[in-house]
Amino acid sequence: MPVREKPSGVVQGTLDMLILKTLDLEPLHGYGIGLRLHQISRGVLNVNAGSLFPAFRRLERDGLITGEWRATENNRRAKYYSLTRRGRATLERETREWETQSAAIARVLRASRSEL
Amino acid sequence: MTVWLSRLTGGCRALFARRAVERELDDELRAHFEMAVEQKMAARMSRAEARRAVRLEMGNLEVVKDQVRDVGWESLVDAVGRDLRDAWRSVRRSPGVTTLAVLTLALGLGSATAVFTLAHGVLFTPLPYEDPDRLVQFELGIGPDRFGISPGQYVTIEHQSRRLSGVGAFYVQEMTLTSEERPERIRVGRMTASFLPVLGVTPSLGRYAAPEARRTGANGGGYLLAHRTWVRRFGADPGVLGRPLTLDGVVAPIVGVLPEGFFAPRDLLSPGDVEVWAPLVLNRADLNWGNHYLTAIGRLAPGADLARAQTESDLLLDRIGRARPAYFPDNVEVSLTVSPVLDRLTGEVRPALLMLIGAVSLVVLITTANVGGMLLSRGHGRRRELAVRAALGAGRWSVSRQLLTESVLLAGGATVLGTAVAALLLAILPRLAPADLPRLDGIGLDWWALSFIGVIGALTALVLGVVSAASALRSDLSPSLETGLQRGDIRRESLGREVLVTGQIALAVVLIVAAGLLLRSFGTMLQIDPGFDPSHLLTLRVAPPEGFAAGESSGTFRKRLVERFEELPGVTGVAAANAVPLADHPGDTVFDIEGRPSALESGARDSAQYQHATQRMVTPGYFDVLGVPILGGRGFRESDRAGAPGVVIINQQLAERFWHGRDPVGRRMRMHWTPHRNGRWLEIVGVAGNAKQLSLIDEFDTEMLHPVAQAGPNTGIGSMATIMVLIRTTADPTALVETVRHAAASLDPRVPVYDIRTMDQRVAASIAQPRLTLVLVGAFSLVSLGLAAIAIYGVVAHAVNQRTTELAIRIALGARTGSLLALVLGRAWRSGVVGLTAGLAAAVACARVFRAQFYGIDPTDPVAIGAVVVTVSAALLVAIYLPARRVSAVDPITALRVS
Repeated sequence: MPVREKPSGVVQGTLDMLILKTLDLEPLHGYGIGLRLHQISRGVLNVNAGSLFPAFRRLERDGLITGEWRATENNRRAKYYSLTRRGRATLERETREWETQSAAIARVLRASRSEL
Repeated sequence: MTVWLSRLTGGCRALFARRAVERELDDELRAHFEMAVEQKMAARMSRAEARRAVRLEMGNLEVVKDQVRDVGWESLVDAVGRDLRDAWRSVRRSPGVTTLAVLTLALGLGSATAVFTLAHGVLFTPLPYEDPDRLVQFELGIGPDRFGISPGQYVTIEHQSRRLSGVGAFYVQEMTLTSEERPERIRVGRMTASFLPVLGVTPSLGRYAAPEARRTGANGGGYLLAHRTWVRRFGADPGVLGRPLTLDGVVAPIVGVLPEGFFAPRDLLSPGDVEVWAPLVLNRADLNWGNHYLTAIGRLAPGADLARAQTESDLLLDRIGRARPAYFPDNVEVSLTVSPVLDRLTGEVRPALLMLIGAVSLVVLITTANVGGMLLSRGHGRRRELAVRAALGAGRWSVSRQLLTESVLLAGGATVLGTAVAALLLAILPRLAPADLPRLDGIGLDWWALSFIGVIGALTALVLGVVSAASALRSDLSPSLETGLQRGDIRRESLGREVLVTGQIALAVVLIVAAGLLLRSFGTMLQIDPGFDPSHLLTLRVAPPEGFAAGESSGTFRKRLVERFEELPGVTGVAAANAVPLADHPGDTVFDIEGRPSALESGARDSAQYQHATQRMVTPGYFDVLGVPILGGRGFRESDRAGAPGVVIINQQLAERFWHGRDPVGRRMRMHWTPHRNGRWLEIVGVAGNAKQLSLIDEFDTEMLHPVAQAGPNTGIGSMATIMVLIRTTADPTALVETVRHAAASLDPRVPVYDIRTMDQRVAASIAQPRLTLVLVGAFSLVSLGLAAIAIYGVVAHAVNQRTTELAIRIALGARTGSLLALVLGRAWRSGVVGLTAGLAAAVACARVFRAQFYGIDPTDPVAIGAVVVTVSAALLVAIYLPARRVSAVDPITALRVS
């Protein structure tokens, strides 16, 4: 089921985390980030500009990512975002929290009477 | 946190380099768009198709930009700026209402700030001592009278108190300061060596002589200057230390300067500003137990509190009483009270200031309600404008935010203007204030006042904003576009205003009743007969030359002085005394009556039987010149001189209390000093009328008057340190001031002449505090009555305007003017009657709380309340009648054609 294009479709904190993860692999421009999320999630996550760009502004303001204008492979100028040191630390912390939480949630959802 | 820092810098960049940031966002989005288009074209779409598809996907780019801009805090700044611009525009559109609203609010805010700043400065600012909350002051109560304590009692407390970590004492006296210029009488404080250490004060210049160094005798330790004295008399010269100063002929060096703003804790015993401090060394070998002239200060020991200190002082009083039997009378209550120094300083004025605070708070409420009403009726006229905004997509939040911003703008303007009003009032108020209102010096528009007006200005903005936003949001905006206004709206609208108007009337009535009661009680004060004739009377004090105090020369100087003044043109009589009514307290004594039990041992505890009287020394002319009648017996004669039999004149109060209507003339009485030492028997030769002592509103004291010729150091009556002169004139006594100065100087240029005032001025000064309260509350009440009248005028005028069409139809159908008036006035009447009734009830309740502020009248004084009802009703009737009159002027044809 594709995620709706509303900002609320992806939980805000989650979107930030996904962007950070994407940038952890390599610096990318906005369009690239959207595309990458789409590809990696095998078409499940389809985040539109109205959610992406406010997220960039937010992350940049918080000093987690930093932007730099560069030429693309098609010789177009684009703003490439990359992780800052603080961004990387945040990503690691949030990934750990996410894993703990999602494992816990998964356990709760799998629970059966016999485990009580 | 660095996150905050990077948010801050990012936001600032967006604000101040707005264009660069916007361009970057534009470029970024365009790049995004183009890349998406390229991607689609790679999937074999035509360029046009690809662009359309991408546009659909991305949505409106402007919306995306808005979402990005909203991320940072700076978007709020933008929004506020936009709101402010809108609000400014809308406020300017109705300059009349705006001006009126700002002025009204400024009046309320300004007067509140002035009164609160005054009260804060007088009542709540900490005293300039170390840890002042731990300082206490002793007060000895004997029957109805309050005293300081005697040196004997002081030493007992000093030695035996465990609840106090230290005690110190001082008293204030007048001394002659001799310098190159003409001699001056100044106030000199005398303090024990422990006094400054107990207060925790050290001289700002020079040293504080160690206590041992001061045992050498009076003035051995040198003089300390008050900061003011240092600046005024010595030009703040740091080289002043060591310079000699001559006080009453005694020369000693200046050893230090006290810090700026230092003052001794004052009470009735030591009013006024002390210029120089000299050491006080108590003669411990022969302590005085009978004169209670010391103001004693103590510091609570760690762990001790006021209650424990009081328990201890009760115990100490008990010990003092047992160690010195017969010093305290058996027939009255004696107490030794410990109270916080600040309470003793401000206790007298506290109730009056609290009442002013109450009054000015009502003024703030009234002005806010008044402006609230204005905004409501303006909001009503703006219904269409707001409806248009709503139709164009403004949410309720953004509409109310705009209304809130408008009230912020109004209140902001009012705060600025109000600050000016407060500054003005703070410059005027201290001049109206009575001389005994403490700590007025430092009061002005300080940071405290500014933050106060800032806070109440903000609160006002909030209240007004909420009121107007609530009324705008309560009803659905959209119908306003179609039909102008719905009937339901009118009703709700006017209900809100009606509540505000009723509240205003009620609050104003409270203030007016207070003013009415104060006016009545002030009127009562003015009618008080002081017991003498205060008009055409000049009073002044003369300090005789040094060496005069003892022996014959005193009488000679006094006689020459009186004769000199008598020769002056326009003078009909001159008298001298040690003190005159409404100027100073002459001193007091306990007395024995021949053939009755001694002063301190008569039977039951009854303060009316406490044989105690103030004691005055006068020249024979005193009664005539002051205008005090001799009711029985005779006045004093020149023959009542030093060697002659001792005589005394008592006042009516004393005669009635102790002779109960029988004739006291010919009986004998004497001063009761100690159990072993008493004055000689004095024959009562006359009974004089009563005269007020320190203030018009005091009860009459029992009083003994002695011929000054029979007073002196060895007479047991005491001697006259300085001479108070009374001059009865034919014309305005102020015109004589310079002549009198010259006359005194021609006698002896070294003689200081001071404290020159007419008796009328002294009478006015004695009721200066009630007058200040009356002036302020009176002004507040007039303003509130005006505002309430304007408000009810507005309601009626509005009702007439709103219903012109309806009225026109009714007229066209034959309705009478009377029934139309009833239609328009119904609600206004209700406001008036409810407001008046509620206000009266609240006023009576408040008046009971402040009962002590009203002299000689009941808090429910029917004259005052009746006058208030008449005044308020008349004002409201006029305010209602003026707009209502227009009903009869409605021309049905014109009115119906217009609509």
